[in-house]
Amino acid sequence: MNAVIVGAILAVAAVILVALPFLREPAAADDRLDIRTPDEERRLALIEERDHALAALKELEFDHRTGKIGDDDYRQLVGPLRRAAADALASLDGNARYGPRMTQTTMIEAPTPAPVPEPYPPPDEGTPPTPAPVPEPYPPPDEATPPNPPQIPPP
Amino acid sequence: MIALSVAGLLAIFLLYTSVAGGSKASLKPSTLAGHTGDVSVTGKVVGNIHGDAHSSEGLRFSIADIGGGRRNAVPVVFHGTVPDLFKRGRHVVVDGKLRNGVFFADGLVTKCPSKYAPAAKKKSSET
Amino acid sequence: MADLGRAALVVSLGLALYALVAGAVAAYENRRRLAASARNALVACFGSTLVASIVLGAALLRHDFSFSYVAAHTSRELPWQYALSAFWGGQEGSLLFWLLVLSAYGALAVAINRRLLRDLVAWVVPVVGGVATFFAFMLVAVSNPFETQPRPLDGAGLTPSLQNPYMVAHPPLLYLGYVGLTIPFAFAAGALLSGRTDERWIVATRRWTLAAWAFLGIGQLLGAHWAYVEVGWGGYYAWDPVENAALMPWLAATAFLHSVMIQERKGMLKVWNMVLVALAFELSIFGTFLTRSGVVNSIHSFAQSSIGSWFLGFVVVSALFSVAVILHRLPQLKAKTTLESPLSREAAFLYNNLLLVALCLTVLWGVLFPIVTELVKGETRTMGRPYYDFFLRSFGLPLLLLMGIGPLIAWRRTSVSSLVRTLRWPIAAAVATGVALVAAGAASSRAGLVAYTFSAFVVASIVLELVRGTRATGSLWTLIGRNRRRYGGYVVHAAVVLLALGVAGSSAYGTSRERKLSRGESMTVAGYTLTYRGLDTTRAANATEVRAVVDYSGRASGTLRSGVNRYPAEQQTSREVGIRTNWLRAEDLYVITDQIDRNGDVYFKVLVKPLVNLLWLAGLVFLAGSLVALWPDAREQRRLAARLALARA
Repeated sequence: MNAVIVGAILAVAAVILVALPFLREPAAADDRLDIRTPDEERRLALIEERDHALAALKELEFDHRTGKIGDDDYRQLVGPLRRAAADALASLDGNARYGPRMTQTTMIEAPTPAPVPEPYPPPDEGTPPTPAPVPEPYPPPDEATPPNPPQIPPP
Repeated sequence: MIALSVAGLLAIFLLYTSVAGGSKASLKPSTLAGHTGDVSVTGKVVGNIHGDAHSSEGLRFSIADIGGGRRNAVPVVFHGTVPDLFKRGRHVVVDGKLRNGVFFADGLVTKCPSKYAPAAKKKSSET
Repeated sequence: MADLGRAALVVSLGLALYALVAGAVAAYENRRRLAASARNALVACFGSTLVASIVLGAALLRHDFSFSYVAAHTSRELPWQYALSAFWGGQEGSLLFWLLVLSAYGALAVAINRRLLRDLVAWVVPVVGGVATFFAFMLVAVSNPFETQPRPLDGAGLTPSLQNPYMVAHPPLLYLGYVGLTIPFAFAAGALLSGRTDERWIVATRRWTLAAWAFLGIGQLLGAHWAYVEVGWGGYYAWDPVENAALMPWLAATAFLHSVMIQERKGMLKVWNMVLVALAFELSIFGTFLTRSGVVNSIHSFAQSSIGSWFLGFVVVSALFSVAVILHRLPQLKAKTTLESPLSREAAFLYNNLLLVALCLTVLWGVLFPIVTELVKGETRTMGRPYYDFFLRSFGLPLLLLMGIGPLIAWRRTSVSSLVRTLRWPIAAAVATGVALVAAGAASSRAGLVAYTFSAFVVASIVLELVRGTRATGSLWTLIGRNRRRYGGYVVHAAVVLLALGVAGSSAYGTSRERKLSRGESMTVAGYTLTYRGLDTTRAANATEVRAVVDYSGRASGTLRSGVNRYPAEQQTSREVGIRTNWLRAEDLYVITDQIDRNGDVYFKVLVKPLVNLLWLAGLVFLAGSLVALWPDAREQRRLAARLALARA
C-alpha cells in the first residue's frame, strides 16, 4: 500500500513540476525565449574579442618574461597584438573615455623599442584581465628617449 | 587536411599490419579441425579433468562448444599455470596448436560464469 | 516495493521523453515557458530515478531476495558494503546507476548554465533528454532491475575476488567518467543546434570534461591495480576489449582537452573539436555496448542478451545525429586563422592530437578486428598483445616527447635553433640520463631506454617551467594559483611520466622465473634468493587459507606468503599472490603459487617488476593534478559574470 501511495505522490509531483512554468504564468505577455538581442550579442562578442586580445597580450608578455620567446620575436608580435587589443577596446566603447578613436593611420611606429619590464602581473590562464584603466594605444616608451606626445587628430 | 591525410595513412598502416600477421585465429572446438598454426579456442570444459599441469603429461581435459553439448569435444593437454575458477562447466579460452587430434595448449584463461557480473578475470601466463 | 521502483522508472521515462520532445519544440519555436518546463522535467527525472535507486539500494541492504536482482548478486552473509556495491555490479543495476548519474549531471549542468547560455541550454535539454530516454527505456522495457520472484532462502553471492574495496570503487568511478562525457557532447550538440558555435560551450563544459576524464583515468588505474594484486597473473593490463572500452573514450577525451586550448586561443580546429567530443561520447556508449553484448570474446563477460543490439542501435542513431548537426553548421565552423608554422605550439598540439587519436583508433581497430574478420572471412581472428605493444610504443613514445616540448615551444612560430636553445636544459638532462642508463645496463631494451630518456626530458622541462614561472611571479603558490589549469596540467603530465616509467620498467626490464620447490629449496631471481620454508593453513570465516611461507634475501630480505584461498561454499579457489614492495626501488617481488602438490612441493612463479609502483604513485599524482586544474577560480567566475553584465548594460 505504501508503495502505491508513494508512487502516486511521485507521479503527481512530477506533473506539477513540469507544469510549474505554466501555472506560474497562465498568460505570459512575452513567451519568447529570453535570448540576447542582436545588439547585446554583438556587444558580448566584442567583449570576448577584447578579452581574447588582452589575454593573448598577457600570455605573450609572460612567455617573453620567462624566456620562451626571444626579443626579436617579441618585438615582432607585440605590436600587432597591442593594436588588436586597442581596436577591440575602442570599438567596444566608442566614447570619449578612451580618447579619440585610434585608427591605423594615426598610429606611430616607434623604432624597435628596448625590452621593457612588464607592468602587469603574469596572465591568468583563460581568465581575461580587467582592461587597463589607461589603454596603451602606442608602442611602449623607449627608456632612452622621452616619449612622443600623443598626436591627437583634430576633432 | 593534414588530419585527413594522416588518418588515411594510419588506416593503410593498420590494414597492412592486420593482414600481414600478428593476429591469431579465435575458434570454437567444432571449427578447430584442420587448423595447424597457433590458435585460440573458446569452449566449455566437459568431461573429466586429470593430470597435473606441471608434470610432463600435463593437465588433460576436453572442451566442447559453448551451448553445443558434448558433441565434438576436443581433448586438450595443457602445460602451465592453471587459473583460478578452472573446473568442469567453465568457459575457457585455450591457446596452442592442434596435433593429431589433440590440442596442446600453453595458455589457459577462464571466464567467470555469466551469473556473476562483472566477471572476474583469471589468466594463466601473461606478464 | 519493487512496484514502486518500477513505477518510478516509468515516471522517469515519461519525464525524459517529455524533456526530449518539449525541449526540442521549445528550443525550435523559442518558447520560454515550455523550455523552463522541459528543464524542470530533467530535474524531476533525476528525482524519480533517485526514488527508484533508493528502492533498489534498500532492497540490497535488507537482503530482500524477492527482488531477483538482489538474489542474483548478493547473499545473506555478504557484508553491507559489498551488498550495496552489487547495485552497479549487475546489468540492470548498472543501467539504473547510469541513468541516475546522467539525470543528476544533466539537471545540474542545465541549472548552472541556464542564465549564461540561454539559447544553447534550450537545445541541451532535449539532447540530454534523448540520452536519458534511451536508458530509461532500457530499464523499463528491456532490462528491469525490479523483477520479483518467490523468495529463495539465500542469494547467489558475490565472487570472492570481487569482494574488495577496489572493485567497489572501480565501476562507479568509470561510470561517473563515461556519463560525464555526455555533458560536453550535449553542449556541443546544443551549440550546433542553436548556432552558437563559438567557444562558450567549451568554457561552460570545461570542468565537466576534465572531471569526467579524471574519473575515467582513476577508474582505470584502480581496475589495473585490482588486476595486479587480486587476479594475480603478474600484469595489470591485458588489452581485453572491456579494458579497452574505457581506454578509448579516455584517449579521445585527452585529445579533446588539448585541442580546445587551440580553439580558445586561435579559433582553429572547431570542426575537429566537435568531432572529438562526439567521438568521446560515442566511444563511451560503444564501450558499454562491448561490455554487455558479448559480441567480442572477452574475459569480462556479462550475460549475453539482446541488450547489445539496442546499444548498437543507439550508437548508430546518435552518431548519425552528430554527423548531421556538424554538417549542418559546417560553414559556421570555419577557422579564423590557420597554422602558421609546423614548428609552433599550435602544431605541437595538433601532433599531440593526431597521435592520441591514432592510438585510440588503433585500439578500436584491435577491438573490432575479430568482428570484422568474422564478417569478412568467416573466421574470427584476434589481435594479441604484440600488436598493441607495438603501437603503444610507436605512438606513445613520441607523445611522451611532445609532453616535454609542448609547454616550452612558442606560439605561432619558432625556429629550430631557438627551440633548441629553450630546451637546452631538458635535452642535456635527457642525454645525461641516457648515457647513465646505458652504463647501468638499461640498453637491454631499446624501447625502455627511449622511454626513460624521454621521461627525463619531460621532467626537466616541467621543472624548468616551474622555475621560470616562479621567478617571474615571485612564488610557486601564486604561480599555480593564478594558472590552475596550466600547472594542474603539468602535474598531470608528471603523472603520465610516472606511468610511462612504471610501464617501461615493469615490462621492459622485468624478470620471470618458474620452478618447483620442495621444503627448504631455494631459487634466485634477478638479485633475490627465495627459500621455501613450508605450508601454513588457517581457517577463516568462509575460506581455508593455504599459504606457502617463503624467505627471501638479496636486494631486500624478509618473509612473504603466497598461496590460495579455498571457498567451500562457492566451490572455488582463488590465488592470493604474495607481493613484497621495495619502496626504495619502487620494485615488486611478486610470487605466485602456481600449484601445491600433495607432498607439499610447490610450483612457484616469481616475477621481479622494477618501478611498477610508480604506476600507483602516478594515480595519486594524477588525482592531485586534476584537482588543481579543476579547482574553482573565484576571479574567473567574477570575470565571466562581469562580462555578461557589461553586455547587458
